[in-house]
Amino acid sequence: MQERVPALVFTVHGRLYGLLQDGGASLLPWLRRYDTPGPVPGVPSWTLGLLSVQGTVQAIADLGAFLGHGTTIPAEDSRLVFVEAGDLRVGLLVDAVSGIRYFDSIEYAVFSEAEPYVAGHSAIHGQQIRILDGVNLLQAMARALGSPLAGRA
Amino acid sequence: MSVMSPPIAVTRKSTARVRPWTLRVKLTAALAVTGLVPSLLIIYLGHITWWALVPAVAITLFFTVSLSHYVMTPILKLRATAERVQAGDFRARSNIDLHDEIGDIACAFDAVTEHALTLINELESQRLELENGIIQLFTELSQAANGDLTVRPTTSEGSLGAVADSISVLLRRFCAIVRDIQATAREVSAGSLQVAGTVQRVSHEADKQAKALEKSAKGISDLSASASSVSQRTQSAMTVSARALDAVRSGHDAVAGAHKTMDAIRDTTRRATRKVKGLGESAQLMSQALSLVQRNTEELQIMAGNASIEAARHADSGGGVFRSVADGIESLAEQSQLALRQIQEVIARNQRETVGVVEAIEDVTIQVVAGGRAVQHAAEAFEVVDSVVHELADLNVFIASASSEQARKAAELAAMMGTLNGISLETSRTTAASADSAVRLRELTDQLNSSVATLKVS
Amino acid sequence: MNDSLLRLTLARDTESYDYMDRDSARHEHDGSRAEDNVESARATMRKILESAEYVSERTAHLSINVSEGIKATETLAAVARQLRTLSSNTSLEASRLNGNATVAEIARQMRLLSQHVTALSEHLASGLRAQGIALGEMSAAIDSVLVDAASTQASLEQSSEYLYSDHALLRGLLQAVPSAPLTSEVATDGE
Repeated sequence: MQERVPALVFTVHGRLYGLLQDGGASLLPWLRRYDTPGPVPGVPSWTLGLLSVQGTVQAIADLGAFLGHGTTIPAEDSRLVFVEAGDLRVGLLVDAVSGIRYFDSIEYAVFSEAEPYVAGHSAIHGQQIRILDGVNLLQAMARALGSPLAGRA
Repeated sequence: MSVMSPPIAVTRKSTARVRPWTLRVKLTAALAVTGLVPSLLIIYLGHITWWALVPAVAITLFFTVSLSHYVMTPILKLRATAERVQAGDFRARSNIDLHDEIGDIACAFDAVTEHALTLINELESQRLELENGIIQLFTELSQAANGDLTVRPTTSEGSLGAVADSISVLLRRFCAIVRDIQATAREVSAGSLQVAGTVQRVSHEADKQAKALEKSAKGISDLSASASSVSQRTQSAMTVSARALDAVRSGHDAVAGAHKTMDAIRDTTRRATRKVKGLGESAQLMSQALSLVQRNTEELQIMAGNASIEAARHADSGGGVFRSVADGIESLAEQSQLALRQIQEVIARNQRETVGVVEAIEDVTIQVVAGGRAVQHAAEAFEVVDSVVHELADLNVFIASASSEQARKAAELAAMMGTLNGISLETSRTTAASADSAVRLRELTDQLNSSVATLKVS
Repeated sequence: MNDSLLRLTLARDTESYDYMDRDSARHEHDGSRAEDNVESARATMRKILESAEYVSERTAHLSINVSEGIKATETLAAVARQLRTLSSNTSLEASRLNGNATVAEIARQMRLLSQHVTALSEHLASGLRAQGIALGEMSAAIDSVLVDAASTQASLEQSSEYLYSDHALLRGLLQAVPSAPLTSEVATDGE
């Protein structure tokens, strides 16, 4: 029997996204409320700043803004999801976190210009979930910042 | 002036009358013969027989008839003469020449008749004289009778002269009297005119007064009836005013009761307001607590998320614990979230309701204040009405007693007016009668005046 | 006899009639004012009754809400108890996993959370209970207001009736009493 695939499901600008635990990029158990990070000058608008997490300084990015949905306005349910891929680590601001869900199957899709970071789709309780490519996402962020994202202390 | 001649003694036509045979003698003789003849005859015959009786009777009759004729003829003649004299023919004489008593009577009668004739003649001449004098006097007096009282009869000798004198004196006095009468008549006329005028005015005024009194009497009578009616009505009005007083007092008590309950409402509303404020405050606190619970629940969720991530990371080794913990926490977090939502809804609803209640209680408070003020004003107004009703009741009592007094006095006055009216009517009638009398007096005076005006007195 | 009008005035004191006229006018004025005030008070009482009934209704709703809230706090308390149990179990698992720090940390946080939630739910419940009590008292107060308002309304209506009755009685009284002293005028043929 095929193992069920765990993915962290969250909401960004009304759309359900998922990040696979074992999709190249791994999720860190640092899930937390949104705290206003210290601003960093000369960075893209989707870069919110730096935040001290678990004794380390982490970069915080607005996932919704990065994906082109517009600036995310932090709310009570807003969360920071920390993802690391290799040396890259970033805290992604999302609107809400549903939790780890175990998917029976994921339909991996071909690359789409419209949604370049969506690796595939799945569904839960009838709702479509876009499975993000975590590695691709982090690398794109790093390229956009022009320097690798600080991942270790 | 002639006087009645004294009675003249009877004179005889013949101077000395011889009366050898008086009537007594003659009658006696005749009766004797009359009686004797039959008696003698009877004596002669010794009894009465028819052939003796007849001549006796015849003789008796003869003598009787002869006697009666002898006696009666002069009497009858005398009677006839007396009848003639009685008829006025004093020249009638009996011319009975007998020498007995009848003759004497006849002579005396003739003498008397003669004397009477003489007297009559004298009287006639006197009468004529007197008549002439009277005619003259009459002529003179006729002037006076025609109104010329200045005429004086011609005095002459005799009784008529005395009469003329007396008439002169009478006329003079009459003149004086007429002058007095004229003067008095003039005065009386003037006076009666004045009196008539005055009496007429008085009568007119008396009429007016009588009418006025009649009207007054009627007015007073109506007034008396009205006063009695008013008195009765005010008496019943006293009962009504007592009831009105009771009504006002009861209304006042009701308003006072309303005032008290308004105070109670105000106190209760204040307490309710405090409670509602307390509700609001406790809701505020609960909201804060709820926020904390909410935060804790979120922490649970995050914890659950991290546990899930750990579970996924350590799926191969010990991840089951994390997963069960994550599942357990997630479930609890969901329940907690649900409960929180419910509580939040409750609190939100309560807050909404409380706002509405607060507003409503504020309205009640405002209304209670306004109501209390209105009730206070009503109570004050009732106080005033009460005092006014008291005054009205007191006034009514006064008016009731005054009305009774008025009714009594009006009744007395009505009786008095009735009496006055009667007196006035009587006065009016009397005055009218006086006026009529005055008019009549004037008329009489005028008549008198006109009567005496025709008399010439100077 | 005077040719002018002959007047027979029987009243000794016409002032009493003047006073009566004045007082009857005053009574009309003051009675109207009292009526207006009473009517105003009655209108206000009607509004008070309506508002009080509204408050009573809302208070009843509030009480129901509070009951529901209390039930929800009981749910919270149950959650807190379960969390404590879960915490205990997790601690056991942590010890079974050779003192896994993460698990132990999770267990600790769960315990803390459980305590917090228990305290807070108790706080909420007591707050809601207090609200329930306050609402009960308020409901009683509003009921008292309703009773008092109804009583006040009845008193005012009664006073209005009494006032109306008083007006009617006094109108009858004033009609019964003459409006002026009795007079009789007799006109004589004048000058």
